[in-house]
Amino acid sequence: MRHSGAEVVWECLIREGVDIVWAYPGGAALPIFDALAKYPQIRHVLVRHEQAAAHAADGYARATGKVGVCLATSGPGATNLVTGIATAMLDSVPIVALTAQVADSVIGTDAFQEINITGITLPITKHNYLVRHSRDLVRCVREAFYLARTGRPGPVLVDLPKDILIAPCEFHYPERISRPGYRPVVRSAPYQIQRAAQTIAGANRPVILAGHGVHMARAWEGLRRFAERISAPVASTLLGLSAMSADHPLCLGMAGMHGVAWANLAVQNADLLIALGMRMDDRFTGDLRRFAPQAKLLHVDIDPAEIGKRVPAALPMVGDVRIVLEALNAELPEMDHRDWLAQIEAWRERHPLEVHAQGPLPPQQVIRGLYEATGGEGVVVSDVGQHQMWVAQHYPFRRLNSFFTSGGLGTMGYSLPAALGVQAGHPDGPVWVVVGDGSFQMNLQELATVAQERLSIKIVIMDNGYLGMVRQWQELFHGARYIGTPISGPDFVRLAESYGIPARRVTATAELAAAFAAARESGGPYLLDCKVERDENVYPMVQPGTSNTDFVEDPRGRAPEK
Amino acid sequence: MRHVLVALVQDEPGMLARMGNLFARRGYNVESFTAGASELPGMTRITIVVEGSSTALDQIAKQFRKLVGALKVADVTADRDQLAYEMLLVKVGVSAKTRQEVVSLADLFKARIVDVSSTTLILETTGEPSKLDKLLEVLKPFGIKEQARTGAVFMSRGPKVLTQRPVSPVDRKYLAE
Repeated sequence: MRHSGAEVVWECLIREGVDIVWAYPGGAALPIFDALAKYPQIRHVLVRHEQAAAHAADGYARATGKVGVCLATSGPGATNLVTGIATAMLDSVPIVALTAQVADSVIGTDAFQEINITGITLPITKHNYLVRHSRDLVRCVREAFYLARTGRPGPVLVDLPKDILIAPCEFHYPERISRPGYRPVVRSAPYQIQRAAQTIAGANRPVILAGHGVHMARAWEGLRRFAERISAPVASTLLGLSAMSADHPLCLGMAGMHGVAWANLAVQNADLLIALGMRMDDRFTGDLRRFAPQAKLLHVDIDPAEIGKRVPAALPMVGDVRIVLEALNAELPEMDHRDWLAQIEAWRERHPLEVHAQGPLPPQQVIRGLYEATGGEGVVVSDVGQHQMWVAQHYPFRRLNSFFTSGGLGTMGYSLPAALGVQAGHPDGPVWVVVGDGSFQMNLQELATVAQERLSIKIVIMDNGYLGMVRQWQELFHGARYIGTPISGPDFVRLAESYGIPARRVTATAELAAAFAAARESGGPYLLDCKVERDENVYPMVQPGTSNTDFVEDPRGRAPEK
Repeated sequence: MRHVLVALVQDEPGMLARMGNLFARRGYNVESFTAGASELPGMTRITIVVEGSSTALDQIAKQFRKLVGALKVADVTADRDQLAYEMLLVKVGVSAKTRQEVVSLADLFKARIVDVSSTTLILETTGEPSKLDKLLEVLKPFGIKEQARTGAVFMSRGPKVLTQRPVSPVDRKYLAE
């Protein structure tokens, strides 16, 4: 059957199960928007800036496990996607970015709104395509989805010249894909499983490290069974939070730079680390030379290049976390590490995570208030900065895969646009956005999208008038010279109201419960501007270049015992 | 240490840029990079000679293998039984007095004279890179006007072929049989 190229793109998307795209039109993209009229089964969300389209696709992919799709026009439309694509790349999130391009005949002539977007995104995509012939169109789109979601997931960009979108195009959707050399290994060899089982059986102080790969592989159930079977505690990375319910006695919470003390002490004193879908990021390990000095590392990752990249692995296992855990669970005996767990419990009692902040509205209390209001079952999207760390520490996620944030790239401005996608994945419940006043101002134009779509997105601004995390580093490492970090903003309540979004200001801890209740009960969007204490720091903190054992606790708490 | 990577990659646009990006990103200076048709239709054989530590090169090889379109990437540095050949064209300045001397040096190195002018000769030869280095060294006093080297290509002796080679001794242990 013959279609236009633009129609063929939508036909392909439908076959890939796409029912929503975040998009922004433009000259070169006109044919693809025009063709959308024939495909009412695809919901199109008009964002206010293309960066938001990429983050929304990313949030949708994280929340649903499906490939998220964003669409932009050529030139500036395409370059505006770049930060969103890079964010997805660093966190291994499967998205397909479609960009329109100037007509093939004028590519390379610096035509109006022409930019070499495949060149620009070469290092920040898993793969990308510039479609130069109608006959390649279907194959490229088909492969883009396949590559985005298989192996180590990641963003794939397809650049679509306008004349190819207009020209008639043969449509036949291929069953099979031929990519010689692309064969992700998902299953570890049986002898590897046996070796791993022996190593685990011989460990006295094992710690499981849960990374984003647990979410990507949807291995939550396998992780819980594995931890219970071998009676090992689970410390997670930032993106590994909510891979196991925080209610579970074996769940330690986050380790690393702002990790909780007991999780860091467990990791540092372990004799075996079982890393699942995590890449030993510098924010997680602290000083590498002093990272978990007594531990052997059993490293499971779908990407062989991550194994041994920063920490040598005694036992490298390439595979999909879910499949590897299934195999391990079948092989392993029930184990008991009660002395080790008791030791960790003692650390937890000695170094509790308490709020020592004074003043009418300590930021940590806002997060604790949100926890109370949602019973720990909320779906939370956090931005980047101090508030992100306070969420990681003070919101024990009871619900699986309920926390979304930009980890690897640390993209300020991520949360509100990502929430557009997360909300599409959770249409029935509210999505909570926790965001600093700095991060919020990076993408606040998306308030219009939220309002236009009447999305149940509840925005909690942690408003301290500072770029807080940078201010904290200035305080600690740059002589408290606050250069470039004091930040003003509009009246966020009136701003929200001007978009037709109900809002209220919170200035004291005592007001939190009522404010969160009001936000929860309003059907659509809601905004809370929480005027928190300005000079709070995130503790505990492992200072750069130091070991995770040397975390600094809040000086206002009791002195740490040696 | 000098490393030799041999790869088979799909012949498609952007592949060269992707490979170049791998090395540039990590600040590696590529000594030579050759590309040409392989025995497989649509597949290009790439040979890269690069300086770097074994750990760094191991990481690059792994990243290289991740490129969509890379069929095979092997670090053949440690292979003993292999051939390495490179081609050289060199334009040497000569006078009536020195011409014969250059011609006999060319003979000694089994290099062919492929062009003659009143003031220059062009020599062509193929061989191991070290032989080419030596030839250039002895020609230097006459004045090298221009030189072009292709960069070396490598091939194992005997029936062993690249496509049947295990991914690499390091990586094989990860893989399901």
